[in-house]
Amino acid sequence: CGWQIRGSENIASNANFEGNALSVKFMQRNPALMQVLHNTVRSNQLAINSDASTKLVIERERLEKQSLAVTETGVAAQYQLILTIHYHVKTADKTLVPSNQISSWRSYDFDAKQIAAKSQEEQALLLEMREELVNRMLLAISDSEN
Amino acid sequence: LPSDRSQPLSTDADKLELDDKSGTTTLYGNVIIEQGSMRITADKVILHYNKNKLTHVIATGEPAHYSQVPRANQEPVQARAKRLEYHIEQETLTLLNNASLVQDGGTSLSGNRIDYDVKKSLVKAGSDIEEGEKRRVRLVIPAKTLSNQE
Amino acid sequence: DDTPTNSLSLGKTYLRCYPQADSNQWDCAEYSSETNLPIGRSQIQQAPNAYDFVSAENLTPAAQSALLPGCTGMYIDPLGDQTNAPSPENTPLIVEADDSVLTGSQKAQLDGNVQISQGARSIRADSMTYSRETEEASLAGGVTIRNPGLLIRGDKASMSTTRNQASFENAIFVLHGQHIRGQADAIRQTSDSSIVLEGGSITSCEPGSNAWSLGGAEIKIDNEKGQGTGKHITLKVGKVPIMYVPYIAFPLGDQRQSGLLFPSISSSDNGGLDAAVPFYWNMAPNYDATITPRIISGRGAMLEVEGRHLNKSFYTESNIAYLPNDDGGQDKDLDTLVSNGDITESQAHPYTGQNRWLGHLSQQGGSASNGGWYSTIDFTKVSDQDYFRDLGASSFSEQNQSYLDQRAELGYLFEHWTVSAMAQNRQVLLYDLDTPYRRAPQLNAIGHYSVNGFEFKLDNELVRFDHPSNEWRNGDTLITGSRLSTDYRAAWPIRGRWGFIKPEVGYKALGYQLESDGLASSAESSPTLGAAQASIDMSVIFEHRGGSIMQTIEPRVYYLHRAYTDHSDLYAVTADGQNVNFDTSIRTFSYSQLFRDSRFGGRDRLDDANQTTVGLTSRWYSNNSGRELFSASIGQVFHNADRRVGLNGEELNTGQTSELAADVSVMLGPLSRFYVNSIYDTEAAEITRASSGVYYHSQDLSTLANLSYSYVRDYRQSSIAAGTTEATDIDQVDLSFVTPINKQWSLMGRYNYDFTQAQELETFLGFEYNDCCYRVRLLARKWLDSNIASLTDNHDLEHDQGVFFEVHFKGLGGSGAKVNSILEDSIRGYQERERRNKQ
Repeated sequence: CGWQIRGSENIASNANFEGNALSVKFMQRNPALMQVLHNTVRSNQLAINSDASTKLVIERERLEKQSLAVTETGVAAQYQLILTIHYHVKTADKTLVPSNQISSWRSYDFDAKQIAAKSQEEQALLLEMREELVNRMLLAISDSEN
Repeated sequence: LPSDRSQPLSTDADKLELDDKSGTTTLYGNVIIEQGSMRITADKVILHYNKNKLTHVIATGEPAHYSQVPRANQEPVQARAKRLEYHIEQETLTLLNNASLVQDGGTSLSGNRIDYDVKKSLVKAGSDIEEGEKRRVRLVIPAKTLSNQE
Repeated sequence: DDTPTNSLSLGKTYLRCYPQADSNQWDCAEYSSETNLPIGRSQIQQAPNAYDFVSAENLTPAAQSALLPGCTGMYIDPLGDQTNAPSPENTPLIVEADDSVLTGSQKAQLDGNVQISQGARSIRADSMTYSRETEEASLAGGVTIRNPGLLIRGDKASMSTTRNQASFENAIFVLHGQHIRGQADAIRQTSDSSIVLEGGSITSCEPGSNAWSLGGAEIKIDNEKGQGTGKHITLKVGKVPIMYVPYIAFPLGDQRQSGLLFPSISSSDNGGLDAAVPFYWNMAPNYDATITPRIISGRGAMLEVEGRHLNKSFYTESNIAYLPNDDGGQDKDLDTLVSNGDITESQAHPYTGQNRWLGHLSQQGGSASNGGWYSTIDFTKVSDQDYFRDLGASSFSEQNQSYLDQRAELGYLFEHWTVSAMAQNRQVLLYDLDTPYRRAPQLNAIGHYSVNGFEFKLDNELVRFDHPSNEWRNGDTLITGSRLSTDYRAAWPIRGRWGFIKPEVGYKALGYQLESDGLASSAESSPTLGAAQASIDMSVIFEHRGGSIMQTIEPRVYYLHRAYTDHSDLYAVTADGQNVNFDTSIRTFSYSQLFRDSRFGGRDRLDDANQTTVGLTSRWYSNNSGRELFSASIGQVFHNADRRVGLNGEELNTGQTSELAADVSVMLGPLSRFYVNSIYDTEAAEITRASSGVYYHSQDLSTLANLSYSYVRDYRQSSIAAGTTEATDIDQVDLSFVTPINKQWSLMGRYNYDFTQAQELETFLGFEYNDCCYRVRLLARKWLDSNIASLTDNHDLEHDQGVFFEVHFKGLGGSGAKVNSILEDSIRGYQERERRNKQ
């Protein structure tokens, strides 16, 4: 009935990654995202070097942290994290992915009596969201036809 | 130079026509007229005499050229126009039709008609036209004379 | 001869403008450059008037889209943006006129539509006299001077032909980029983009509207530094003067408008009047400061100073606020509580006579290149727990902050390793709550290698947990010490567009050095434990390419096994039975939690696991845009063995299956989304947790609508005051919106209701009126006053009402911080909307 497994080649061998390498430029300093980017790109058998022709430009990373629910004294009971990355991808002569934004959503219960543990949970969620967004960016590069 | 008027006038041209009745001498073909530091080159020049004394010179060319040193150790004033009228007595020069004049220090003026009083070194330029398309007066003051005052 | 390189006449026509007798308007007629004759009267009805103002319909589409809300047109500089104009000294002066007279080579007199061009500067006048000795030219009759981005028109003017200087009489000016115009008895141009107005006034209102104007003896505008200064300045709204200031500094346009210029006035029955008048000090291109004196009735005078500094390696922001000798504040609700004896006077005004202050420093540092060193500092400290509730910017979430982070980190990104050192403390802002452990220091070293298909991750962390006191508030013994935790993984991932298979093995180890005189003699002071683990995570993507939609079905299976390891060395190690737990808690259950390798957050437990997670996701993509339109996932964990490791001791957990987790997400547009996350307990056959929401943001962010609902069945919430742990449901809805009613009016509001407590948490309704040169916002608001909420259960006393009013004069920088923080905190997307409106 028309269902079949999606194409078999892996991301690294995609033509949009010439010399299966990628150069990255951050418009604002972001060591956390840079670290995730380096590791995720490497685990996709790609390399990061500054003179690769495909250039991923991270324009802005924006974290919205809102309380989804509060206790009766107004203290947050549930937080929602929305991490948004504004980025674009270009090569020497054309724009592979025009400037756009992608978001990842997570929420977790907060308990004021366990501040240390809950902020560890938040850090873990942020790491997971950055990994998800970096993978989505790599997929967007390999999917782009123009 | 003020002394130019007392200098001898020399002319050089391909062809020359004398017409005593009207008191004019007409020269044709890359004509050169010189008197002291004043020099006119043109395609055709008509010298007008009154009782065999030169009163004025009409030079026409595409364009005709005129240059003269206004005062000692100044650069010569260069002028061009399709038609030049040089009046010896009043020492005035009228440039008509596509006229332009460059003064000492590089200031250049262009327009349809320029009246240059050599003695008073007074230049008037206007844009009223006789024929040809109308051109506004244009003055260009080069930068270097602006900044350092010799 | 040579035709002039830059054409003098501005296209086919030029403007001759003369001041009208009665108003400060200018009457302009358009003349053809060739014939010098006025073009027919009818043609110039919509001709750009004296201010280069082009109405919307004549703008290019690009300019039209950049039109700020409430504006009917823009100032367009016909010179375009020749930014790198050569200075006048070394560019020739080219003059065109109808007639000219040169006397000698010193003086020139030109008449008849004189047009002068010098590099990027172009001038026009009826007549001009130029003298070479003084290098001055005096101009008369409809004089216009243009530099890139600056236009000055006047009756008469004199100008230098070697410097960008000119002085005008009875003149007007326009700064196209800053959208500012003005007029003055005399205007002196001091450099290519700075002017001085004597006896003049400026405004950012469009020609024809004088909603506000800033007038005074002398106004200096330095376009390059983006700053204006004024002496003896009066602010007028229409013709009515409303404020006089001897000296003023204001940022021009919105380049760096961190300063508020005009008072943001707000009143609430709680704090009475709260007025702040900031001064913006633009010290240098890379550092500036905003000094804000603030008066709060019932508390006294306060000073807030905010500084910012930028250089190649660091961006630093700091603010300091100081309120000496607090008068205690006035709060009717507290007074009623005191009068009917519920609380004492000192409880109502605990900080009378004390100094209240806030100190904040945040810094991002690093080498410019991709890798290299990085540093972050995020430090905030306040004088007391109620600082934000009493003096803060009064946004709901800021008032209810539970703690302030005090953290500094320095790290280095190597090729395969990231090494960092961090110190962290937290100041708790809630009543009778324990201060968490201090991490002083924490060292991390994370290695990552990818070698022909294999992937190695070596995660090492050493933390020293410290604490000022040696017991918790409830008297329990407090354990301090150091913890070394390692997490080494080796994986062989095969990844492709068809999905992935990721087999992975790893070993986690923990080692402690416990220091506490309360340790039981039998306790092991340096316990160590470790656990090996293996997991395989597999997912295959089946796709079905329909007409315009491409659907996928993505089954995913995740098997995890981690050996049980005895944690008894960490349980009951002190005389009063405390367990070793520095930063670990149970993670919130969700669909993504199904595929994580630990049910705990933090590193103090190596939880045993023998489980298989089965998940199914389906996504729909639009074929032409490739964007994801819809995704739905459902999954559950099947435990092949009981679990024993618990937070506070062994807890045999025999549950065969986890709850069922399901997520649905529908994209309603590039910025809009509907989602539902739910957790269903299959045994108890009831929903234990659900949250759903719809966010609609229009493309230009003029319309924002957010509706979110959250439900958690018997949420384990330790009610702080009573110290007990009682189960209450979370059952709350939050609606917030901004909708434009017409081009200039927007309505905004929030309704945040708690069904369990049957009370409104925050409700406000407000409007925003946008004119081209000013904005007015008015907010009527009612919110839970968490000062009182914990002291009484009398609902109407617990709430505060307030009216927040704010006028922002556009172009002079700054906007009400108070109203902004309320809106940005409660309406999702409002911060981005503000950011976009500033462009």
